[in-house]
Amino acid sequence: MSKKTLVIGGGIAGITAAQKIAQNGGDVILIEKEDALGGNFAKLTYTFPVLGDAKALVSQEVQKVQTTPSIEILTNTTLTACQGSVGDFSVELKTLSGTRQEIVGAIIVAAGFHYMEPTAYTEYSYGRSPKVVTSLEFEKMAAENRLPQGNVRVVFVHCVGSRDKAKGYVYCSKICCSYSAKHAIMMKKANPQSKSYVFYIDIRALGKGYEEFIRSAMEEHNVRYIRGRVAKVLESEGKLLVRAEDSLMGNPVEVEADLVVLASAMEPPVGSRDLAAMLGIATDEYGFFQDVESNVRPCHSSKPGIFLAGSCTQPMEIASAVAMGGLSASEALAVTR
Amino acid sequence: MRLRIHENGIRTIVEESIQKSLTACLQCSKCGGGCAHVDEFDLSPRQVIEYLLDCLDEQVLDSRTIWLCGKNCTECEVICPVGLPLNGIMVTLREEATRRGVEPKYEQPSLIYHKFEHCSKHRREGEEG
Repeated sequence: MSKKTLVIGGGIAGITAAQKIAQNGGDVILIEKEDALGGNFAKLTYTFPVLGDAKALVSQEVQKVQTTPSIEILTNTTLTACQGSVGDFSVELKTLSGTRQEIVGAIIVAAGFHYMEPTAYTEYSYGRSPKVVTSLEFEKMAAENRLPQGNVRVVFVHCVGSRDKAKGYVYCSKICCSYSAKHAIMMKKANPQSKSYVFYIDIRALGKGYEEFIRSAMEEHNVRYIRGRVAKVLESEGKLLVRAEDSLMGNPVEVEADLVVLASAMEPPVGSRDLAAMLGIATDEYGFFQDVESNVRPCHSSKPGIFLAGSCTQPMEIASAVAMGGLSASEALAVTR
Repeated sequence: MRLRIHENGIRTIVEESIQKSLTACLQCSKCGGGCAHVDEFDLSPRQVIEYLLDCLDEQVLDSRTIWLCGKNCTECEVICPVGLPLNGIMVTLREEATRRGVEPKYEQPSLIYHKFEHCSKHRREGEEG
C-alpha cells in the first residue's frame, strides 16, 4: 500500500488538502496544469465579506506548501492515466520534461472551476463592446488600476448564465451576489465619483457576514440595487444603454453606463468529464464531480480512495473550498496510513 | 383590497394549453425589460403571469397587453430563462377573452399591430389560431 496521496489541482482546495496531509505525516504529490499555484483565488484582488488582500492571502498559503518537504509540487503537469484501486493507484503524470509513473494510495480531485464565457449572451453586447466585461475581467482591471475614472456609471448584472435554463445553467452560482457587491464597493473605493447600479433577481448572501456586507454596499457606498434581470445592453456613441424592468415598480427602465460587468456563471473546469472518465468517477449533469452522498459524504467520489474537494463539485466560496480540502485530506489519510 | 388566492382561475386553461405550469416563472422580468413594445402595454408579460397566478382574471382579460403581445414577435419568448411559451399564453388568453365576449383593446396600437390586424395576408402570417 502506498502512503502517498496525489492531489490534482493547485488552487486553494488542493493547497489546503496537501498542507493538512503533510501536517499529519503524509506524503503528497501536488499537480497543477498551469505554471503557478493559486488557481482562481490568485486571479482575485480582494476577498469577501471582509476585503482581504487576496494575492497576499493566497501567496502565504502557496509558500507554506512550497516549503513543506513532504509535498512535491509539479506544475505544468496533468494526469494522463490512472489504474488500480484504493491504497494502490498507478498513475501516469505528464510533466514538461516527460511522463512519469507513480504509485499512490489515494487521490484528491481539486480541479477548481471555470468562469463561463458569456458569448451566448449577444443581447448584452459581450465581445462586441470593450466596455462590457466579465467579473473576472473586472478583477484584472482593478488589480491593474484600470477601473474607469471620473464621473462614470457602472452597472453590475447578476445571473449571467446562472438560473437560466434557456442559455446557461439552471443552478445558482452562489457567490455572484456577494462578489458583485464586492466589486461595487471596490469601484466606489477606487473612484468615489462613480455611481454603481446592481441589477438582481434575488439576493443570495448565504454566509456569515454576507448579508451585512451587501447591506453595507447599499447603506455606506450608495450602491443602487434594482430588481430586474437585464434584458439588453446597447452601445451607441461610446455609451452603453442598459435596459431592464424595475420589477418592484413594473416600469421599464434604462441606465446609461460607462462600464457593464457581467457576473458570469461558475461552470465545471474544462475537461472535467475526461478527467472523471480517466479516474473512473462520476460527474453530474453539468460536469461537476459527483459525490456519493451530498450531506454526510460530500468529498467521497463514486470510487473508493478518490476524494473530491472545492469548486469542482459545485459552485462554492473560498471558505467552503478550504473546509472541503481539509475534509478530503483526513479521508485520504484514513486510507493511506 | 386583499386578494383571495385560489387555483381555479383561467390559469388552469392556460396551463392546459401550454402543457406547463405558470409557477415556473422566475419573475426575473427579463421579458418586459427587453420588450420593444412595452410602452404600449399596461402589463408586462411577467405581470400577466403573476396576475394569472393571483387569479386576477378580469384584469388580465381586460388588459391591452394580451391583444398586443406575441403578435409576430418572439423577443420575450426567446430570452425567457425558464422557456415559458409567452406567445402561446397570449393566444390562449385572447381566445378566452373572445369566448367571454371581451372587446379587443387597441387604444394606441402601433403601426405594426395595425398592419397585422387589418391586412388579411399578414394576419395569416403573423398569428396562428
